[in-house]
Amino acid sequence: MMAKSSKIQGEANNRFNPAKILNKEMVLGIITLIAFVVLYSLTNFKTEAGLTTFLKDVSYLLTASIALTLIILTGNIDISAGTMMGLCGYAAAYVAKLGYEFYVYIPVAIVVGVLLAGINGIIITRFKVPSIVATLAMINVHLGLFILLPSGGWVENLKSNFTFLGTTTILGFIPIIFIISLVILAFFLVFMKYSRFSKKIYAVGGNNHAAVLAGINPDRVVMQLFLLEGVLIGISSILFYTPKTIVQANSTYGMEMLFITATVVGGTSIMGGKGKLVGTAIGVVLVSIINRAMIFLGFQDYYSNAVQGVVILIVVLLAVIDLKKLKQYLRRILSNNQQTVRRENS
Amino acid sequence: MEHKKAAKKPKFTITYIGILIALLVGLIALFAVLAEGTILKPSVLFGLTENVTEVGLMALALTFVITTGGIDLSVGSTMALSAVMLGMTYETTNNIALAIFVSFLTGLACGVLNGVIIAKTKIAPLVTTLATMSLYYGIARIISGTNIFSTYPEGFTFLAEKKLFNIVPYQFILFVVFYIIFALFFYRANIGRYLRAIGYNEKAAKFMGVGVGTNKFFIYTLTGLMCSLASIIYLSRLPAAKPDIGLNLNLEAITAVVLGGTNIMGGVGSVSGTFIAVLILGVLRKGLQLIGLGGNIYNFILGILLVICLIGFSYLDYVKKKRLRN
Amino acid sequence: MRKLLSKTLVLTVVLALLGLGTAGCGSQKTTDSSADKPSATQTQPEKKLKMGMIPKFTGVDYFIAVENGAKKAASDLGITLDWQGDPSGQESAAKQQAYIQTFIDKGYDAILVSALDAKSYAVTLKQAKEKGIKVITWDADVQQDARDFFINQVENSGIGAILMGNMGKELASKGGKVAIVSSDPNASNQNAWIKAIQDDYNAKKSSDYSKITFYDKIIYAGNNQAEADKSVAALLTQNPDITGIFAISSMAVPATAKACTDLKKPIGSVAIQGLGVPVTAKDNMTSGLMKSVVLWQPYDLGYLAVEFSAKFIKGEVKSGDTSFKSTLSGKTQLKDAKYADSHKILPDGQVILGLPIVYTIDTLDGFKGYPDANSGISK
Repeated sequence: MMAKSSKIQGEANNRFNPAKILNKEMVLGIITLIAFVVLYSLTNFKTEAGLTTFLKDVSYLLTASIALTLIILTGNIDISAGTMMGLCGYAAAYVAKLGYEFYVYIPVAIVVGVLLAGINGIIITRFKVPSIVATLAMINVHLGLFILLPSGGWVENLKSNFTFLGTTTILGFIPIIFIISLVILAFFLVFMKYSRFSKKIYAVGGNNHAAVLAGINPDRVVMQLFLLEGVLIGISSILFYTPKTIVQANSTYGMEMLFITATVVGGTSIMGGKGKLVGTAIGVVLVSIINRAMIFLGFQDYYSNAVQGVVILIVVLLAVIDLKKLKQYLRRILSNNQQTVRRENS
Repeated sequence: MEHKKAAKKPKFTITYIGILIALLVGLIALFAVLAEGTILKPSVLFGLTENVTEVGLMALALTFVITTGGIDLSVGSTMALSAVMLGMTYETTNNIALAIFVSFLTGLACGVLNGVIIAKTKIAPLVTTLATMSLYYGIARIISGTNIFSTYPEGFTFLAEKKLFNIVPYQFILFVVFYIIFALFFYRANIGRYLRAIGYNEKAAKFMGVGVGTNKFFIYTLTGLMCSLASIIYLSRLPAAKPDIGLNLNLEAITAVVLGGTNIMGGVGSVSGTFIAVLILGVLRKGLQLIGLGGNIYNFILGILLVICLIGFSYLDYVKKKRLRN
Repeated sequence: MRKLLSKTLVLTVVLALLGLGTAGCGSQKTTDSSADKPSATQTQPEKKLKMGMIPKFTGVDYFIAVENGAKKAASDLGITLDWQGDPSGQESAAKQQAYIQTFIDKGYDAILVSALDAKSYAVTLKQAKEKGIKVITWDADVQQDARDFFINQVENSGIGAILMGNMGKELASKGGKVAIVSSDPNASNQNAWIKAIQDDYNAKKSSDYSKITFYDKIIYAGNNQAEADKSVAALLTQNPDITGIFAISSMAVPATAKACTDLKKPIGSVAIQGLGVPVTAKDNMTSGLMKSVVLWQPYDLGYLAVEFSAKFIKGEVKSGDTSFKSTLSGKTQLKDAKYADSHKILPDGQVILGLPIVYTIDTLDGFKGYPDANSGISK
């Protein structure tokens, strides 16, 4: 299960010494492994129930973080991902309550996700509104939609046609939603390594103008990524809500901070152009472990916000400090190498 | 009227302000019709300015920030943290002066952290304030636990209760005073020019000799201070300090700034516009409440309003650029 | 400088004109539209009373039942009732204060509120009273000087005695550790009940409850179902030795039941005593997870609140009275139980609806006003 931290080299950016990148992910992976072992040895975690709950938490976090990572790679951001997920989940639950099966309500969730994310995409690409403000505004539009929804965004008493996905397990403790998220992760790892589209993503995020000169249409890439985000968020909403019997659209409010934290911890730069999905995957596991540990140690919810804030700050600061030192280091060591240090402006 | 493209800023601002004032009056009229004239009662009309001060103070400071092309998402959390610190300090020491001082200190610290990171490192304001937003909110939550700090001395709520001539709330007067101060600095002092220059082209500004780092540091720190002032005003109106206080104010403040004519990408700013926009939002909120649409409808409309403003201004920018090219 | 000065001048002049102009016609409107003083209603023809009512939050069975009862009273008495609230999870004292302010602005005759927090908007409520608007709290009180009366569903001591007593009976043989799950530390009603439970426990600590100890912390599950689920699950996971839980908020009962089921606790290993809407607790009672649930008739509470306020406005009941007779007095509370001949009014302004009801699986369909407005109502 921890094979995620293996040496898959995704579509790497060639700004840095590949050896350095390997170290980064390896270090992260090792930290995660240690954390996992520590957590495992705490009583609660050893039980089947504990492990299962953990894997369930990781599932939706993973899919949603992949979505956020893709967006962030292009230098954009989507802080409405949380509320979006709530609306997708509500839509799916509503349809499920009416009696439809999974092959109906899952596409419904996905369609809602694509629609909402598509709106974000249009505002950002077509109307050139900076993504931070656009998605900030959209959060409140989503919240407003909650009120307009029947029964204020709640769906209660969900039956097995909805909950079976969330409760079925393989081998007694591996939830199928976890398997689903692993499949999606695998798909995207392959996608990022082999497809041409992924190169475009890095190009757009790294240097927008250069990308245009290279014949890439950044708007199109970003728009497509938002649509992709919609699909992934739709799926995440299913992974998040099916273990529950009551669906409240506003319970995912603020969750995008988790996704962003996982992404940033995993080594993706908020400015875009740098980062790997493998890192995000590890980040997801690490963040889940920290969350679990905090709950277990009795810290309750209160600390999560502060911790997330601090984590993002530390990671981002480290990245910046790293860059400068790295530049000097590289200049000294690789003085006769052709590699020019490109301008790190974002 | 010939539209001079280059030196169009002052003219443009006045015209747009005219639109804003018209919008304000129009909204009041609209709600007067919809809610059977209730909004025209002086107690109501001036009463609505009570809520307006908190957002207004933040928006004034944010105008400076956004004019430089930056942003500060942590305003709501800073306000909450300042409020919680005030409540906690008073509850433990029973010294209101100390509590207020601590509150300002908190706002200052929050602003300084933002300012240092943004001015000294290359980290974008977006990420920084996104992280500090979480951090300050988190600290506020940790400090409060499940408590709400609602013990305050007798005179503390005086701001909310007493009014000038029994009609005009003192908070509103405070807001107007700050507006005048901010406007003076923005339009007449060097700092206004510096901020606009930074927003327009940061590198060029640096070469012109503008102390980019210093100015940036200053405005974020100032924002922090304004947030703690806002928290004190909030508490005098609703004496219950808890971490959720300012959460929605981010959006309101930013909407007010954008609606007021400040360009989100920086370079163009309007403090007067922000002032009127804050009033417009206040009327909007009050009007919606009077016709029975309380709750989140206001936020919903705010979200849509912000999107429309952003799209509108972005389109105007695009048109301008096109005309310049021709 | 001139530009700025002129702008500010224009603005000030505009606002001042607006203010003065409307002050003229506005003051006339104020004397017309607000029928606050009782004498005014006697000299003019009987006007329709307007009241604003605010629950803690909307969208949950408990407050839906109250709403149905209140609206029935409003239609019976010819009153305009404005029911305003936010859905569970989005409520806040600040939002309640905004609704109160709106009621004041509109010049309503009375404001009826179930307060999320006893102190936050005391100032606003006092301003309402100064304008002659009657302030009545129900279900959850505010500080005494900010309201005229408090319609309390039961006497607090009664709840404590029943809950503690039933817990004591269920745990009679084995005893153990019990925990209290409430909504939040500022809920005045829940705090009063917690105190009542503790008082009863302390009174009989050495006798009937000798085998029972209390978990030292009170768990605040919040007003949001997902949060509640998490909190109770955490409580039971970290303390597997808990044998009893007092679930005294509407979210706590389903959260406790869910936690017990999720953690696969055998039925009967955890005694659940709680306050909850019987219809929602039905599954738990069928499975045996809960033996009974304590509540009252929120429908009647809503009805009484409106009726009392109307009579108070008209002067038919005043502060200092010790009892109040309503349409409910003498009528059916649940199945065979009836309300007393009149409602007690305590010296601190509490108007008591009646005695607490212990709903069991046989009597739970007598719950009035939910799931539909006419359920459970018998003549």
